[in-house]
Amino acid sequence: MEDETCMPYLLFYMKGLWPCIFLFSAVYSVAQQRDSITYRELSNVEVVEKVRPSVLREGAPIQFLNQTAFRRLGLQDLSEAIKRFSGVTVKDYGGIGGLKTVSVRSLGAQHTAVSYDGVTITDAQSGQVDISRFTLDNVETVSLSIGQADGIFQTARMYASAGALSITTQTPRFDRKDYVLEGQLKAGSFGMLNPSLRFERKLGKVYAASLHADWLRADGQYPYTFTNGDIVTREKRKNTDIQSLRTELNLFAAWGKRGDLRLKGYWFDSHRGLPGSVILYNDYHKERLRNRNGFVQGVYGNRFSSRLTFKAQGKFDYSRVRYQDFHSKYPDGQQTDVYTQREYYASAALLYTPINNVFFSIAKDAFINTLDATVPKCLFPERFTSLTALALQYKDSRLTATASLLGTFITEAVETGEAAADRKRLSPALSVSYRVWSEQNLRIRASYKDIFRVPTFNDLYYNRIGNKDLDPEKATQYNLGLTWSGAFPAIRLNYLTLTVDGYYNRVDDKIVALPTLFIWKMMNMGKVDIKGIDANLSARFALPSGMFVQTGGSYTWQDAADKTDKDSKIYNHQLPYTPVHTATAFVSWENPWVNVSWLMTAIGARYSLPQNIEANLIKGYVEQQLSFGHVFTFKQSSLRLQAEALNLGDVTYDVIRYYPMPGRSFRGSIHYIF
Amino acid sequence: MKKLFYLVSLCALTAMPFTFTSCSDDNDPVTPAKGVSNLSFTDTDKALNKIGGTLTWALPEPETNIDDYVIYLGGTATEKKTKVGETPKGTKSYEIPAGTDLQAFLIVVPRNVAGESMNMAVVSVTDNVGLPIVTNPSFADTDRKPGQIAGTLLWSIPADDAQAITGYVIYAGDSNDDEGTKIGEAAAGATSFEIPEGTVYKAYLRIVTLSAYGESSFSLAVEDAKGGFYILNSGNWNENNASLSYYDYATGELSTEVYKKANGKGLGDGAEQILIYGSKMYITVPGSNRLAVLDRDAKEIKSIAPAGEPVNPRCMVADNGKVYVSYYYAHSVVMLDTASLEIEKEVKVGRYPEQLAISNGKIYVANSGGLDYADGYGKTVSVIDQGTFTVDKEIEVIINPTQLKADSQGDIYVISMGNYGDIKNTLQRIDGQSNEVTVLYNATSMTLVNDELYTLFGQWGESKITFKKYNTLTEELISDNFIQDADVISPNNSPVLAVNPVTKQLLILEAPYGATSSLYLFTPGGTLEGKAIDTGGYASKWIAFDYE
Repeated sequence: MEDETCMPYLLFYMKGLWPCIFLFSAVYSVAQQRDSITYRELSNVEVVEKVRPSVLREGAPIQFLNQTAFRRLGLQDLSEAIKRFSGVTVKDYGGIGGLKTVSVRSLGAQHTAVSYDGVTITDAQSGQVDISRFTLDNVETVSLSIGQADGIFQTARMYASAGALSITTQTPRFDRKDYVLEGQLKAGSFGMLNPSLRFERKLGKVYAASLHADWLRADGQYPYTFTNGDIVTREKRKNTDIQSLRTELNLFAAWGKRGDLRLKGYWFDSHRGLPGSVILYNDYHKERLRNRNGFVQGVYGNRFSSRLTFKAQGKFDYSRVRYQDFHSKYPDGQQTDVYTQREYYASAALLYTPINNVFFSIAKDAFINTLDATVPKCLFPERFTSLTALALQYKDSRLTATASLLGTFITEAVETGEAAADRKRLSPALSVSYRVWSEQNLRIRASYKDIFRVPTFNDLYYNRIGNKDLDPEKATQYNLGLTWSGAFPAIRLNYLTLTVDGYYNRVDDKIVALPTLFIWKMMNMGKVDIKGIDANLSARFALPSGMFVQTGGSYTWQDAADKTDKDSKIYNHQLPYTPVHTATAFVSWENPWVNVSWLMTAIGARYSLPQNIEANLIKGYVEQQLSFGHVFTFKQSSLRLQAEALNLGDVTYDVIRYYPMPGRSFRGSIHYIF
Repeated sequence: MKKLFYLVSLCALTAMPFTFTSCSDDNDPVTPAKGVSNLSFTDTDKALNKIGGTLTWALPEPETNIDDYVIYLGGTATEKKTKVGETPKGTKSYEIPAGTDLQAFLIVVPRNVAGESMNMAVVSVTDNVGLPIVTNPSFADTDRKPGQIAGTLLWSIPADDAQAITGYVIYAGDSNDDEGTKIGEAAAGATSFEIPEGTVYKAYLRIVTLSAYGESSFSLAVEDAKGGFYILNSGNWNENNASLSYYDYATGELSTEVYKKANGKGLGDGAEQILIYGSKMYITVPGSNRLAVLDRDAKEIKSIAPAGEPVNPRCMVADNGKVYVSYYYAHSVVMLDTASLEIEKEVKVGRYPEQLAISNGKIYVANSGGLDYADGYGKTVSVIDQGTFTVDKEIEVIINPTQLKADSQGDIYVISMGNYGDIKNTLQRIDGQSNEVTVLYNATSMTLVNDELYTLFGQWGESKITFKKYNTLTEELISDNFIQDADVISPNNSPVLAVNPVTKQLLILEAPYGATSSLYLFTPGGTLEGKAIDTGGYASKWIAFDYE
C-alpha cells in the first residue's frame, strides 16, 4: 500500500521538516558569542579590510565576529560562530560534517544567503547551504545581517534574501617579510586530526598570493545515552567517519588607478559516512556521501573618482555530490546517485555619491544554474536568473536612511516536460537608523523588507514529489530596535553595548513537503506569523596589568505560529525546532599567562513536529564550553597553543530529535606563524 | 414421731389455701385439667436439623389451676423427651432458641404444684432448611464479538447450604423471570461454569441450584462485551513514533500509546500492519526491521528481528496456525509458526512484495517493485503453493500492485497503485480458477467483509473521495456512494477504509498534514456518527477489530 520514502538523500533537502542523513562525528557542537567591542579595540592596531559593519549604527540588525574573537572564544567552525548570534537557529545534525543549516528568525534556511568573500554560495537543488564544511581557520570575519544591510554597494544577489551570512577570508599582511608561513595541527576527541598549512607571499609591489590547504579526518564514534520508554542504554555513533581536503588559492592585484583584483580558486573534497538518525531496534546505516566542490571567482573593483566606484564579479562553481547506499535490496546491491550542479555567475555594481551623505547604487547580476542527476526521471533543469538592485541612502552622523528595490526575473527550462513558469517580482526594502540625541550614543532603528525565495529544483522537479506549479515563498519582515553604547570608566567598564530588537515576520505560501501515506508532494501550504525579541549585550572591563575581562550574552524570545488553516490541529502551534527561549553568554579573561573563556548556550524546549503535543516535546538544554589559550611571541614568529573542553557538563541532548550530540569532548591545537 | 406428723399436716393445711385454685370443690391437689390449644410453630432456623422460632398457642379459658407451661420436644406425640423451657401462665408464646436440635414434635404441658397436666398440646415440627441459593454470582464476557458471550460464570455458596446442594443448571434468558434456554450443568461443589465460546448473548444468565429441598433460582444481568478495535499508527518518518491506539465500543473512548503502556518502550519506527489471529496480535514495524508478536493485551511475547541487513517485514496473512509475512527488502515471503513463533520457511518472490491473500491452498503476494520505480515498478502477483512453499506462477497485473484480498469463492482482488501519474490506483480481480485478470474500476483502499468488497478511491489530486461497494459472489456493483458524509475528508490526507465485520459500521482514517490522524465513524447506511476522533498517533493506517 505504501511506498517507502526511499530517497533519504532527497529528504535532506526537504524543507525543514524531514532532514535526514548528514550526520557524523562530533567534536564541535557548541556556539559562541560575537564580539564587536574587540574589533573596535583592535582597529587601531591591526589593518583589517575596508568595509566594516557597525552593529550599532546600521538600520537593520547586524552581528559580527572576527578572528580575534574566534581564537579567544575557542570557536572552531562556522556553525559555532553562528550559534553565538541571536535571532538564528542552527539545525545541527551532529558532529564535524553533520549537516548544519542556518535559519534566520525562523524563516527557514532557504531564506539565508551565504556569501564567501562577497560572492554568494548556492545550492539550487536544495536551496540550503550546509555550513558544516566551513572552518574558521582562514576566516577573518563572519557577520550576520537580518533584513537589508546598510552596505548598499553589494551584488544584487545580496539583496535577495531575508538574511545574509557573510564570510570574509584573511587577506595577507606582510609586516616585515615578503612571506608568511603558518602551520597548524589540531587534534581532538573521537579520532579528530586536522593539520593545515598556509603560505602567503608578496610578489612584487602589485601582486600577492596566498595558499591555504587543510586536511581533516575523524572517526566520530562518540558515545551517547539513549532513552526508549523505560529503557536507558549507552550507545555509540556508527558510520560517522569523515575525511576531507580543502585548498584555496588567492591572487591579489593592486593596480592603483586601474583598480584591484582578487582571484580565488577553491577546491573541496570530502568522503563521509552518514550515520542517520537513531531508529529504534534498527542500527543498520551504510550510507556514504562524497562531496566535491570547486569554484573560481574574481572580484574587480575600481574607484573611478571620489564619487564613483565600480565593482564587478564573476564566478564559476562546480559541485558534485555522490550518494551511496549498500543493501542487497538494490538490484546491484547498492544504490548510487550523483548530483552535479554548475553555476555561471556575473555581477556588476556602481556606487555613486552625487552629493555628500547621499549614496546611490545600482547592481546587476545574471546567473545560470544547472542540475544533472542520475536519479530516475531527472529533468536536467536549467535556470536563468537576472537580478537588478537599486538603492538610495542618506547617511550622516545621526541619521542613516536607506531604500532599495530589487527586481527579479527567472526563467527555467527542462529537458522533458514542462518547466515552471517564468517569474517576475519586485521586492522593496526600507530602513532607518537615527541617533536620538547627539550626546548619547543611543539609536533607534526600524526596517522593512519584502522578499521571497524561489522553489528549489527539488521542490519543482524531483520525481513524483516535485510540483512545478509552486509559487515562490514570500517573507515580509518588520524590525524595530534600539542600540546603545557607553562606558563607565569609574568601574573600569570601557565599553558597554546593548541592542534590543522587536520583530514581526510573516511568511506566505510556505513550501512544505506534504508526507502522504503513498508519496510526498511539495505544496505552497503554509502561513506563518513570527514575533520575537532579540537582545544582545557585551561589556569589557579593563583590569590592571593590561588584563581585561570581556563578557556578554544574548537572549531571544520567539513565537513562530502556524497560521495556515484555522480548522487544523496545528493552527497557532509553534513551528518545529523553534525554541521560544534561547540564551547565550560568555566570559573571557585575557591575561599574560593563559587566556580563559567560558561559553554557554541555553536552548529552551521545542517541538520536533508541527503539532505541539507532549509526545513531540524535546527538552531544553544548557551547554557549556571552556577554552584556554596562549600566544608565545618570538622575534620572527609566534606560537599559539589552544585547548577546549566542549559540553563540559556532559549533557545528553539533541538539536534535531534522534540525532544525538556528543557528550564531553576535548580538542587542542598548535599554531605556528613564521 | 406422731408430733412431727401433726406438725407437718398443720403446715400443709395452712399452706394449701395458697396453692389451690378456687374452682374445684375437691380439696385434694390435682394437675391442671385443661391444656393450651392452637399450638403453632414455624421453624425459622434454616439450618438442617435445627429449629428455632416462636411457638405460639391459645390459652385455655379459664386459665385456672395452672402455674406455668412447660415445653418439650419429643420424637412422638406423647414423648416428652427433651425439656426446652417453661413459661409462666398468661404467656401465649415461647421463643425456641435457634440451634435447637430438631425433634418431630413440640409439646406444651400446663403445670401446677401437683404436677404436669395430662392434657398435652402437640404440634409436629417441620424443619425449615431454606433452599440453598448461590451468592455473589459474577460473569465477565470475554467474547468481544457483539451478540456472543463466553467466559467463566462464578458464584459462592454459603457454607451452611453446601451439603444440601446436589447440582446446578445454567440457563440464559431474556428477562429476570424468563426461564430461558439451558446452557449446561455443573456438579455439586462447583463454584464456576464455563460459558462456551459462541454462546448467543441473552440479557440474563440464570443459575438454578438443585437440592434435596427443591430448586432455587438466581438471575444475573449480563453485559455483552462489544470489544473494540486497534488502530495502528505508522508514525512519522524516522521519528520513532509508531504507536497503537485502542477504541473501546463499551465506553466510546480511545486510549493511546497502548503498546508503550504495556511494554515500557516504543513500538518502533514506521509500523505497517496489525493482524489479530487466535490468542496473539502481530504487528509489522518495517522501519525498525521487526515483527512484534503480542498477546491480546498488547504485552509483547516476542520480537522477530532478523539479524544482518534489514529485511523490512511488511504485510501479513494468517491461515491454519501459520502467519505468512512479506519481506519488502529481502524480496521474499516467510512462514511463521504461531505456536513456536519461529520462522520455518522462506521463499523468494518478486521485488518489494506487499500484501498477501490466501485462496485454494495458494498464497498470493503482490510484487509492487515499489523502490524500483525508476525502472517502472513491478507488475506481478506471485502465487505460492501452501504445501510446497514454492512459487507456482506469476500473474501479470497493472503496475505497482500493493493490496490483495481473497473472497469466499477463491477470487483475489488486487489494487495496483499505478505510477501516481497517468496510471491511477486501480482495482482488478484475479479469477481463482483461471487466473484471468479483469480490470474493475479505480480504487485506493479496500476491505472485504462477508463477501462484499468496500472500496474508496482517493488518489492524491482528486477533488474528493468516492466509494463503491461490490458483491464478490454475483460480481456486480451494489452501490457507488455508500458514504454520503465524507466530504470533510480530503484525498490528500491518505484516507483508509475499514468496515466492522459484525455491525457493518464504516470507519475512515485520515492523516492530515502535521497533525495526529483522525478517525471518522459512519453508520452502515453511510451517515457520519459524531465528530472526528483524534487517534492519538500519526499516519494511522490500519484497523484491526479485536474479534477478528
